Amino acid sequence: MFDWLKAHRHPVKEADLSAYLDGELPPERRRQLEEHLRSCDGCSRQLDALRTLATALREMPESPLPRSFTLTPEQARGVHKAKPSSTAARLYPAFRTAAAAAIVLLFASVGADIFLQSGGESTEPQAVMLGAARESAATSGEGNVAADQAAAEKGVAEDYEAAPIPSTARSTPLMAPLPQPLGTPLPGESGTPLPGLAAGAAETPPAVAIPTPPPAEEAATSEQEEDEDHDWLRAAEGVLGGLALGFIAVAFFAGWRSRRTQDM
Amino acid sequence: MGVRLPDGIAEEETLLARSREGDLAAFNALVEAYQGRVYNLCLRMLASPEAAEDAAQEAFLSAYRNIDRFRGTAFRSWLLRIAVNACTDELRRRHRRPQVSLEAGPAAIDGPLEPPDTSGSPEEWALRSEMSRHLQSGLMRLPLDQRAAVVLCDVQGMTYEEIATTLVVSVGTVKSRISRGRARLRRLLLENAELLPQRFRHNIDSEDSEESADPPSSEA
Repeated sequence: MFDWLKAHRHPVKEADLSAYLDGELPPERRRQLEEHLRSCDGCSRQLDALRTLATALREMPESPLPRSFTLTPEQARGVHKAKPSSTAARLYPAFRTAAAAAIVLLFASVGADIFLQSGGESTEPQAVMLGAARESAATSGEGNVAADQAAAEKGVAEDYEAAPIPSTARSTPLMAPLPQPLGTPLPGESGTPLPGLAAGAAETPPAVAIPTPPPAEEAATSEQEEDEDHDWLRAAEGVLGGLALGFIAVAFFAGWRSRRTQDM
Repeated sequence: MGVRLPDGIAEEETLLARSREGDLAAFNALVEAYQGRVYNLCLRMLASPEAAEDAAQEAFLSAYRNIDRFRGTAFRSWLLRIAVNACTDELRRRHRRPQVSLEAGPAAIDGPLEPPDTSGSPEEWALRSEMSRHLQSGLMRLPLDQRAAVVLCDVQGMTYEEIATTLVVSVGTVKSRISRGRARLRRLLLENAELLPQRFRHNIDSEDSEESADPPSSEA
C-alpha cells in the first residue's frame, strides 16, 4: 500500500516536487525537474497525488465568522491596563532589574575589594576610568619595563617566579612596550612587574581590567590571596557573579518569550 | 462596512498609523478586514470552532496591545504570526485542561465545520464537507510546525516567502516543513483510504496500484 513511499530514494527530492507544485522552484531547478518528470512515471504520479492533496486542502470551505472580533472600548481599555499576559513576560522586567542590580553590586564589591586590598598605600582611586588607566599605562609603560628589568637583574624576580602568579597579572600587556603582541611576555618580564614598581603602577592591572568583569574578578581574587581579611568579599563576589549570571539567563529567556509575538 | 483590503495598501498604512495612536475605530477597521482570514486559520489549526474563536479573539487583543511594536510593512504576516502563536497557546491551554480532545479522529471534530455552502449541488457540498473532515483530522495529527506551514500554504494560499516571514524561519525550512507535512498528511489519509470520498481515494489509490503494478520505478 505504501509503495509510493519508496519514491523517496529517488534522485529527485520530494521537497522539490512539493515546491514545484507551489511554483517555488528557481527556474534552473524547475527546468531540470520538468525534464526528469517526462521520463519518470514514479515522480509524475507522486506529483499528481501531491496536487490532489493540495487541491483538496485549498477547497476546504471557508467558515463564516461566528461573530465579529472587533474590540469593544472596554476590551481596549482592559488591554491598556493589562499586564503582559504570560508569566514569563511579567517576570522579564523583574529579572532584568535583578540582573542589573546583581552586576552593580558585583562591581561595587570588586571595587571595594581592590580598594581594601591596596590598603592606605595609595590615594589614587581604584575604579579608574578606562581611558585614564590607559593613559597612565601608556606614559609609564616603558619606565615600568625598565624598572622591571632592573628588578629582574637584582634577582627579585626569581622569588616571584617560584610562587605561581596568575596569568592575567603575568602577561599583562601594559607592562610590555606597546607594539608588543598581547599575551606574549618578554622573557625578562615573566617575573611579575609588581615588585619593582611604585604602588600606583602596581595597581594599574586590576584597574584596567575592570571593564571586563571576569579578569577583574580573577585579578582581584588572586591579589587577595595574601589578604585573608577579605574572604567574605570574595565569597560575595562569587555569589553575586552567580546570581547575575542566573538572572541574566532567566531574563533572556523571559524576554524571548515576551517578544515572541510582538516584534517584527 | 469595513475596508476592503488589499485594494488600499495606503489605506492600511493610514489605519495602522491611527491605530498606533490608540484610535480604536481604525484598529477595528483592520480587524474587519482580516478577521475572516484569522478565524479560518485558527479553525484549521485547532479544528474546534470554540477554540478557534478564543484564539482569534486573543490574537486581535494581542495585536492591539502590541500595535506600536509593529514597524514593518508586512502587516498580514505579522497578524497571522500572532494568530499562529495564539493557536499554540490555546492548544497548550486545552491540553492542560482537556475539554474536547483536539487530536482525536474525524468523529470527534464537533459538528459540521462548515455550514451549507450555496455553491454547487448538495452532493458536491456533502462530498467537500466529508473530505474536509478527513483533511482536518489529518491536519490535527501533524506536528504543529508542519500543520502551520501546510495551512498557511494550501489553505491560506501564501507564498513561501510570506510564510517564512510569518513563522520567522528560512524559506528552506518552510519548503521542507510543507513537503514533510504533505507527505505525512497523505500517509495519514491513506491509512483510512476506504473512508475517503471516492474521487479523492481514486487519485491516491490509483497511484498505489499503478506503482505496485510497476515495480521498476519503485525499486530503482
